[in-house]
Amino acid sequence: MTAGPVSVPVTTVASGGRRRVSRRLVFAAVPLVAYVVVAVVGPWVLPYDPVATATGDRLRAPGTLLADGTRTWLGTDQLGRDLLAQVVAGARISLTVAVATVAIGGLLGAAVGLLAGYFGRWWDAVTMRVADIQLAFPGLLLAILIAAVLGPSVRNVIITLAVTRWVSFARVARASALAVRGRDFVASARVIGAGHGRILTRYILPQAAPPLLVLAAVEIGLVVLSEASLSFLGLGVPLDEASWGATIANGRDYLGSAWWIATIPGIALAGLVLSVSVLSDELGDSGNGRA
Amino acid sequence: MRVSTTGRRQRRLAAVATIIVTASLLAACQSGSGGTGSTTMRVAFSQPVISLDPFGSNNADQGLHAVDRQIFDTLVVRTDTDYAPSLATAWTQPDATSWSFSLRSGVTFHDGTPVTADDVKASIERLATQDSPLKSLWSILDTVDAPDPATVVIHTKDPAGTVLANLTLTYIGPAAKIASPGFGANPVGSGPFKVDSFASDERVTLSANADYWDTPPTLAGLEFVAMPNAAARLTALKNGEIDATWTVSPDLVDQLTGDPSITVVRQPSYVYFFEWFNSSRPPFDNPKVRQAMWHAIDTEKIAKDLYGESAKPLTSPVPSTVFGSSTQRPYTYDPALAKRMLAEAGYPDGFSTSLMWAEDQAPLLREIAQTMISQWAQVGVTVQPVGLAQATWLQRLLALDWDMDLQDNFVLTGDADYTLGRLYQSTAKRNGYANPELDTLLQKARSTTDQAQRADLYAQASKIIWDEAVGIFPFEVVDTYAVRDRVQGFTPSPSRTVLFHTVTVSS
Repeated sequence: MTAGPVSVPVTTVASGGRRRVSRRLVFAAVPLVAYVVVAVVGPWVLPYDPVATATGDRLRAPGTLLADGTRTWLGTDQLGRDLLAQVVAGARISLTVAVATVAIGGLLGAAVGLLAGYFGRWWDAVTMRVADIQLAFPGLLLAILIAAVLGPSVRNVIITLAVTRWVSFARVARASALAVRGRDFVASARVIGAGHGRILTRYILPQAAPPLLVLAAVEIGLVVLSEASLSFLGLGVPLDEASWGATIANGRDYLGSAWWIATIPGIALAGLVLSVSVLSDELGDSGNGRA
Repeated sequence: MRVSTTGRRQRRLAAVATIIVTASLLAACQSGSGGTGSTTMRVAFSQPVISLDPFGSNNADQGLHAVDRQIFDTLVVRTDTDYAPSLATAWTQPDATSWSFSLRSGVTFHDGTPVTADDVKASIERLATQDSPLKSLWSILDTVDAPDPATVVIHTKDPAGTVLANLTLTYIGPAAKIASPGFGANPVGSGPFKVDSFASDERVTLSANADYWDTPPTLAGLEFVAMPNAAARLTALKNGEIDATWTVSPDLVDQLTGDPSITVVRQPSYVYFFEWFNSSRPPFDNPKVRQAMWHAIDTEKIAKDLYGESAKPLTSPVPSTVFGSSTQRPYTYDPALAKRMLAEAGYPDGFSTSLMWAEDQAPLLREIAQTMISQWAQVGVTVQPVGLAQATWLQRLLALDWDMDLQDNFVLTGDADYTLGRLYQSTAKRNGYANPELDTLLQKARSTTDQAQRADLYAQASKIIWDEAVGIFPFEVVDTYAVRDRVQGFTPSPSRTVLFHTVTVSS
């Protein structure tokens, strides 16, 4: 699951089109911002207790009146827990896992890739072969293997997914470093006595940043899906945390009767991945200007 | 874009390919559905059939018994209240440790060889010596003699009241073949059906044995199909792909009650749920803590909300369908009392522990676990949920590496010795509970042949287990079988086996 061919950023002056691009960018970002707001604020407004059960109200359709007089807007699952609260709590878990995974895996991968591309030779050969070996395993299978060994917990899910996703970042960072390290301004920096560290941080990294950011946006969507897959299989977050994948798994045997249990978190998941995808497209289009 | 000069040829090729693909898809669809002929029955049930070897490591599997009951005979069979002749026509007890059985004459195996006392002797001995989950049933066995081809004498080490119960699970096969390695794939018995083909965890195809000594089957063929997904089984039943399925999850029964072509049959079973405490680990070594934990659980609400009509509250550690069940005093649902008892036991602020179960072992097992966990949270006990794969769960269970365990249990012989006698003695080391008084009662119940006395001893043993809260016993299961209306004579039993030789189907 690597990113497609990434264009090396070229210095251009965007004229006239810039205002149009940024409005589309805003439109693309709105759904994602909405998800983030729900994830941050939602559990305060609508607390979800994953341990509590209300079996007297189980499998109620969306909109029905419950035993205690309240109305359930998105229905209840087979333990009587409200779907709306579960989806909101799941948003927080999904986004937390996604952001943490991309941050950790991305930083790790980018560091490895930058060093590989810049220094080259044996360091490059070793790290890229390790990456190739890892890529030979189907991504989800590798995640299942690691998760089964570590056990279910939010921390372990982040570790698992970070380990399976660093390779894309490494490759992109390496490509950027390779493209830039032979350029004149890097050579002139070396001539005036800049050390490796300074060159990497002040010259290479800013060139590598835009494609890495685009990749990060793409990867957030993929990580959300991977986390949902792991939780669906029971290897992701534990039972006393909400997760869209786990809620979908709960609804698996009720598709013909209580269809809302699996469908509603599925729609939320699809919506998040779609909005991240559109946003990353927009970022890619507008990322041709360099910082 | 290049203009194709072979456009017409490509279009024709595409058309032919489409026709071929469509035709083969249609053919595949045809062969999959509506395939049951006029006298062939196809059934699917919830448990996998891994092996058909009655002496192998799968011989406690429900799947194995559902099929093997059609292929093999046993010496006796269990009726509601007693034991009836099958391969054995009569039996006597010459002395306290001997049982003499007269065999039915004229019975042959599917390969034509006659059923003799030597075959019975070999089968019993194999079950008693091969490592399998049922091996311990015959720990009472001393020797088996075959003084003539129509008489078998079983000698037990001590007087044993469980001989007849054990014989209902001891399938009789040809002495020459039961020890061969391929016997599990090609079993040979004397039952109403013989095996045509067997693909483990996939399909078993049986055909009628016209020479069966009892009523020969009306069905020409019988097929067991593996369909692990509960919703898929119901869909197949509604479409007519299969003729019967069991057991139906309580949540899915509603989908069937509206369908006029499907009959729902309810049958009390030998299956029940229990939650064990590991009494060798604190805080569960303190009976007050265990009793408090039981008072914190509303077992009636769990039974009613989750299982509805498929549950019957337990009144003893074994279901009411089993010989040896009794009526104990129920625990009231009283969280306040539970908290007081916990405080008295030294846990005023509750404590943390864990509950393990095997995923997919029974319908709604995880939901039962989560409901219990939520009720324990109300009295300050934090329980970590641990859902495991079946193999891992079994390994940890037998290693006593758990705090609390939730599972279902099947009293295969319909006799309390199978559960109480096997699992609750201190030597069994199954749940860490050791009580010499209980051990004595259970051993006496096993070694007396007076059934009335046995029933009384099991009642006394049950009172200890119940009052000491060795576990929580919420409810027993009333099975739901779903059958298409073209099937007649479908009679399930509490042991979840159906005798198909009395079943007929109309076309």
